[in-house]
Amino acid sequence: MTSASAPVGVEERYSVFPFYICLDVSASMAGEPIDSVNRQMPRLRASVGEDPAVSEVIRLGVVTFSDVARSVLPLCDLSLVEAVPEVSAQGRTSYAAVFDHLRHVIEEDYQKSRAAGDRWYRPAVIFISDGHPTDDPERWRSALARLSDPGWKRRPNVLAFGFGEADPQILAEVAAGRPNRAFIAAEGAAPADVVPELLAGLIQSIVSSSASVYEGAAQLIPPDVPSMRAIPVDELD
Amino acid sequence: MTDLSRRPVLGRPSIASGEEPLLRADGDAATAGWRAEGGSTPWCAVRAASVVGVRHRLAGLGSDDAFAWAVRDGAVMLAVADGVGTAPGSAAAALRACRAAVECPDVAGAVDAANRAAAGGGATTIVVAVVTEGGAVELARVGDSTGLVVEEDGSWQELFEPPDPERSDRATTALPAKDPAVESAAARLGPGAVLVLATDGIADPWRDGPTTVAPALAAALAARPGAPELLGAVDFSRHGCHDDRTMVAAWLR
Repeated sequence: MTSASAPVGVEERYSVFPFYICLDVSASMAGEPIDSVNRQMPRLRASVGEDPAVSEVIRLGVVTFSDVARSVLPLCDLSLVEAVPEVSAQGRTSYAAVFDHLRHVIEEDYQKSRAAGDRWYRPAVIFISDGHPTDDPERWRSALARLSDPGWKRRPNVLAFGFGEADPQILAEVAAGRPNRAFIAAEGAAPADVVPELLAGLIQSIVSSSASVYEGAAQLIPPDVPSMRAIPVDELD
Repeated sequence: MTDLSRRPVLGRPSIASGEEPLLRADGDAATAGWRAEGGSTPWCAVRAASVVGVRHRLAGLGSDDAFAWAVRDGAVMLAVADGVGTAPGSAAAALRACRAAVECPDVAGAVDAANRAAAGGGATTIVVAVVTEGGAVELARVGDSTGLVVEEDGSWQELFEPPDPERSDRATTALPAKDPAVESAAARLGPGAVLVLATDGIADPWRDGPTTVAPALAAALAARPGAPELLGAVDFSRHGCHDDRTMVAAWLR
């Protein structure tokens, strides 16, 4: 391949790895679980934002969902963010809302990012829920199908984490039925213990995934969360 | 070199500044923070510049890159390698591979020797070149380290296939391997041209920075730099470019 001295219109490129954290903020998350999230977020911001080797290859966004889905932190370079907004819990649990939101936001963010000179690795979605969806199964399944449509070039890799009343089979579906992509808290594990471990694991996962970028083969490295186990993928007969 | 204001900024700036490489207890120059080397034969000048990446500086680690050369009648052998960070012992594997490679007079033998030498812990890429007195160059590589030719006017050509910009699921091939995927290339150096072997810490920003990094490095090379000048050019500051960087350049005198 030949490249002469730069012709007009040739663009500068910067490679980034987008991570979207999708957090259930329905009523059941109120109290210790959501307080735990708010306590961990500054740690996440510091670990990712204060290390240029991480912050300059990762882009982070935070989406919350209950009745509706909302981007509380738009996808950004964390080194440019002073603080991650605090979140509060209320309402029901619409999976359709978050899947639709993600389908829209990821594409929009990609187009903006690309116009600014970024080149994207396949985005990662970290889906965290403490309950089963309260919306109609048809609705959330069709929204999930749009999010995981193989024909959509920006289709994300999804890791799903559940505790409390979350349904392992549904989480496995959210993670596209792939092994080591859906995790459920161990029997009897209290959300108050699981959430801090999960978020600490998430920080590690983001940092390790950024390191893999430098090795020439970007990987989404799942977090290691002691109080959670991988949901087994069923065999088809 | 450790002051942001003295590292040339090429493109979107980085928040990285002033990070010191780890001072290694053994003072082993092979994985030093900054290395500038070079010299000449009667017909060929060689310059090497190697910088440990900011990501390793922040982690208190040394560089995973290595380089070596050898001189024999009518030919100069060059090798550059990039140890795979996820496998322990890769920096040492990269160095063993380079040193073994340059003992061979031909590129096929060089890759073979590198493959054998890389065994024993770790994994590494390798790119080797034989430059002969008439300016003919033969190259071979395993992995994503690469070779380029830079012309006097600043234009440049990569001698191997660059990575696919679609880039999802790009696997890194490396040594040691049972049946390594070896790629070959050839070039001819004219009087004004410079051959460059580089690890991806240089090659990626070179390709991604067609209006910043590429012209700056090409201009630095066209000036027939001393080794310290080349090191200064290679230690540029750019957003997201925090990998180890190694470049070996050669030109006909």
